[in-house]
Amino acid sequence: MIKPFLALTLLLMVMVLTIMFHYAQFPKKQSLAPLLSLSQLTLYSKLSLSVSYDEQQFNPTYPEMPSLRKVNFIYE
Amino acid sequence: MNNAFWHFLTLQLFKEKSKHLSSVMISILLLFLLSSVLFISSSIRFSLEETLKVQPDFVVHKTLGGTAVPTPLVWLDEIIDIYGVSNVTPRVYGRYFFEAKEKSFLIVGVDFLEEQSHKNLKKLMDNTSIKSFLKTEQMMVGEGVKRYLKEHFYKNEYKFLTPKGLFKTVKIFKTLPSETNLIANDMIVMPIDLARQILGYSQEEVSDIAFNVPNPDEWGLMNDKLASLHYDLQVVNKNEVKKSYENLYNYKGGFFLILFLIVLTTFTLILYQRYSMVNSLEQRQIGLLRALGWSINDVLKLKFTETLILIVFSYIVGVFLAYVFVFIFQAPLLQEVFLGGQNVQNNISFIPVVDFSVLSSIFLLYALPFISAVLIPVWKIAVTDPKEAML
Repeated sequence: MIKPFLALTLLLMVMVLTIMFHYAQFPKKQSLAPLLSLSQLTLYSKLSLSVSYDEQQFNPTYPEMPSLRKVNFIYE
Repeated sequence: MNNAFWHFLTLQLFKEKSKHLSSVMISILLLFLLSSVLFISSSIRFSLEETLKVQPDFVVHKTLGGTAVPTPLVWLDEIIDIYGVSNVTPRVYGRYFFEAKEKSFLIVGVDFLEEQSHKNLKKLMDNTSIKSFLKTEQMMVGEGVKRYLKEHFYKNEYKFLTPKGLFKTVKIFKTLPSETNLIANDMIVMPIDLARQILGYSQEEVSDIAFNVPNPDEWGLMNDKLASLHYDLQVVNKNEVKKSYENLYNYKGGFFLILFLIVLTTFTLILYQRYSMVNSLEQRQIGLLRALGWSINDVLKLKFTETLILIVFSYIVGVFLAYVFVFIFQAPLLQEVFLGGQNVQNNISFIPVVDFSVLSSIFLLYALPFISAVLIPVWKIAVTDPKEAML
């Protein structure tokens, strides 16, 4: 085995270990706690999607046509 | 496999690195994109499923022509009377559009006079005094709302226009923690009566009624009991919401489909490239190895190990870059594909969630065509006469 290959293997191992360390050390419970508290307080847990097209029920230019901004075909 | 074999293999791999560079780069890019999308969707799904656990089991609302309309508050008493039902709570919420009608916020009314709400508010914000919050008409706003109002010069308060044409000045009490952005970026939390006035509900109306049914065996029966109360009543239970969340991100559009198509197309190209390359330089190389006394098995072993190293390298680098991109840099640009960017800008922090079964399927999906694209032509050459192969 040549040295550059060993160095590459070492680099890959460092990458894998970094992911594992970050994954294991991440404070999941603490990060989730505010979200759960708010959800309990408001009894509401719908995703805060930043989509105006979801809200726009009508087509302002051609009222007889369906809204152009609806993306039901993606979400359903 | 002895040392000489590994030495030859690694030496050849590094000597011909420019030959492998293009396929490795394409593979890294594809794996990076695919893993990023996967990480984002699993993280959002995990957070939503966790919040769903603390949500009421059932929600009922009144419908008219298939559309939700204000629910009469008297239904609350009818539901309380059903045996096996607990924590019956009215909910008042709705979207408030700005005059330009381009941006909208979600107003959620909370009954802060209830003891449970006190406790939950305390849990959410440690140093919050409920007395100072209820002293005047105040609201708590999500980060996106706060940012938007600030940009429009509403630093401390906002004047809501009620459906009756009256202005209602509401002070900003606090901003909700950034960890809640996933559901509260465009949210405004205020006392339930104030929310009623701004959204135009009367005192006898609510958006819907939520409640729990502690015994899951009664859920099916509960649906029937509720449906028999009123003809215009719609029931939604937690399982249905869970299913809709799963669908939302399982199918997340043609996006996943397009990515998979790109992956498949690229693999086809790699296959084609490998086939064409094997006819010239590689063919001569294999013939030379065979002439030097290497068996067919040895040649196949060399090419298999070489390809496997390239695959493992691309896979680890691709997944590592995706992990860093999503869970450390919070997936700029790609975040908008999932959360949108047309209303109030949302910046959420993803909680690391890695679905190992999907990661291993991606590895197999990527590795098998790659290996076969190399080994099949190599085997075809290795079985021919070395003299012919070197011509």
